[in-house]
Amino acid sequence: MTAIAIKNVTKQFPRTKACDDISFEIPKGGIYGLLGPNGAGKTTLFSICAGFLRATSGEVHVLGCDTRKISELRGRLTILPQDAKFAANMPVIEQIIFFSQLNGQNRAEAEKDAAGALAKVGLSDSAAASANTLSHGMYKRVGIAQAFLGKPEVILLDEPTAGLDPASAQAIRDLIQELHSAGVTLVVSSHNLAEIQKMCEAVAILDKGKLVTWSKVKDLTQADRMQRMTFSRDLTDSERAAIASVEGVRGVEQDGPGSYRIAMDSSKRTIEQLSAEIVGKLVTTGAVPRSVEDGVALETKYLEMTAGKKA
Amino acid sequence: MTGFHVRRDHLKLVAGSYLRTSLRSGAGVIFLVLSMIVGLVLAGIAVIPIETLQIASKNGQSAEMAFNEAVSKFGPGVISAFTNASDDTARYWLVNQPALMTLFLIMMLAFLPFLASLAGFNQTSGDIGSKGMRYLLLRTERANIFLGRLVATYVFTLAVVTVIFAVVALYTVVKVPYYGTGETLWWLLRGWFACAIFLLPWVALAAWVSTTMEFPFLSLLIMELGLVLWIVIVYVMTKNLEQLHYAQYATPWGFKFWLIDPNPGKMLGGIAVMLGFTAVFTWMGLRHFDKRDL
Repeated sequence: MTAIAIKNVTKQFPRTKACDDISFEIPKGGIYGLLGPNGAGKTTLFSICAGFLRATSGEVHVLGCDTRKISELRGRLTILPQDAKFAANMPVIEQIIFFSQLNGQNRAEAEKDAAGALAKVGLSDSAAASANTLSHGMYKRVGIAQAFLGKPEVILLDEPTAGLDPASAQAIRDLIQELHSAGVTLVVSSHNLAEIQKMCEAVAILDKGKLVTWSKVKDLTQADRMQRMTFSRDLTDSERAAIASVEGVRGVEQDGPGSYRIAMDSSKRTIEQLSAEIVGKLVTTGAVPRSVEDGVALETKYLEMTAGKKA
Repeated sequence: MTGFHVRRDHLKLVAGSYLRTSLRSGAGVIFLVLSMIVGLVLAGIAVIPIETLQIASKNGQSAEMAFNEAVSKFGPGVISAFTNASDDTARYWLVNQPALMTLFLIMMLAFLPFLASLAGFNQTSGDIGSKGMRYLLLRTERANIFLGRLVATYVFTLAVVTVIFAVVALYTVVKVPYYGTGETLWWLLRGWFACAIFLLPWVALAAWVSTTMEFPFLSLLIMELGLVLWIVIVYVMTKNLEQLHYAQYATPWGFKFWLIDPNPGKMLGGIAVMLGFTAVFTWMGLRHFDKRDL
């Protein structure tokens, strides 16, 4: 089942082509990432999916509905837009209640839903505050609260943790996981690649308005066939030979000071079993890994694909 | 074009929220105060010369005679300056109806387009620039946002006009004893209705212009300057270029006095024309708002 189908979407602004014939389909029920350097077209693509911007050509279907008829998705699709504004002088609770009412709830239900959404993001105490009196982080959390209103089936989150303190960012990540467990499809844009790698099943990488790749994270990072071990020193030839002698290891390659990529064949033994045997062999030589990662970092792959541009 | 899906419950919600937001932001209060001041100044312009003559009359002729003399002195001048009414129509306004109220109505009708553009210039433009509508766009059709705000603007502006009329009615009944109360109130009620109808196309035009701009100030500037320019052009054409004077009917401005014309057919025609202009401006605004990036 497809949650979002993006078909040949092009968006031409007067001076730039923000999206250039982008097509891919996001399945239902997972957490997916949208990555790319600044100006790659991520926010534009999100905005087209949400009906804020009209595509120059192509179309987007969310849960089978054309997003040009966005009200058919009322309450089923929500978004945390990157740069949207709340009414400055209205209490945030009033604004959230208004959104809930537009979602189809009566006043009493809307009040309950709004209070619940604000509580989820830790803003119950600020419910009566006007939007213009909130700090950047609190403002962002109100945006997240409105995205979690009702019972959405698809949520688009444009940089949900940017500008938040570590505790708030973790709380938002926990909420995302909670919604994922409830079967909600989430698409997250973020410059925090470690966060994306940890949360997402698949990512789309955009660059200069074009889709560079739409792949599973484990395929990109080769998590099922590679481990990256970091030591306090470079390994000796005999230590490298010891790793290579483990059955299932297909190669050892140094990719930095004390850092090694170990290619593995996981068809007969699991990656964990192979890693345990490697560590066991090295411990006797005094080379104890400081860290072990599954595959290459998403960041490394991302930088390769976008020619080193910052996310 | 994706088709306009209008929902009554959403229109009500959007209009209510927009009214509350406007009032809380202070813009609505400034508009209210400004409009009241201008409206009452217009009323004052109509009434003060009469009062002056009334005081002067204490030395000689009766107050009623002085009053009638003042009306006959100032009335035709005001009517000639603002309208192209025939002699019969002018006589109806000045003799058959309370003349003071006619002068006030004529000035109100001339002022209303400015009031409407002041009320409506920021219906959408500010939020387009600041992306302030994005939280709404996933929850309701664009048509509901556009029309909800248009309705709210119209209702608020009409409420301001109503307050101005109520103050003028009270003042006239108390201070100008030469007209029957029923006669005065009936003519003012008809004038209020004319204003209510005449407001419609201008609020709709302001809504349309507002959808085309990302900066509210630009929207206001275009509306107000456009109005002044159009009025000057119409005035010049009417006075000097006889063969082009029909151009004034290209906008609702040329039909405004039809709404208080003694001929019922002409009055009904005026209402139909205003509704027609309103429909065209609203459709143009809706179409643009529906297609544009928000």
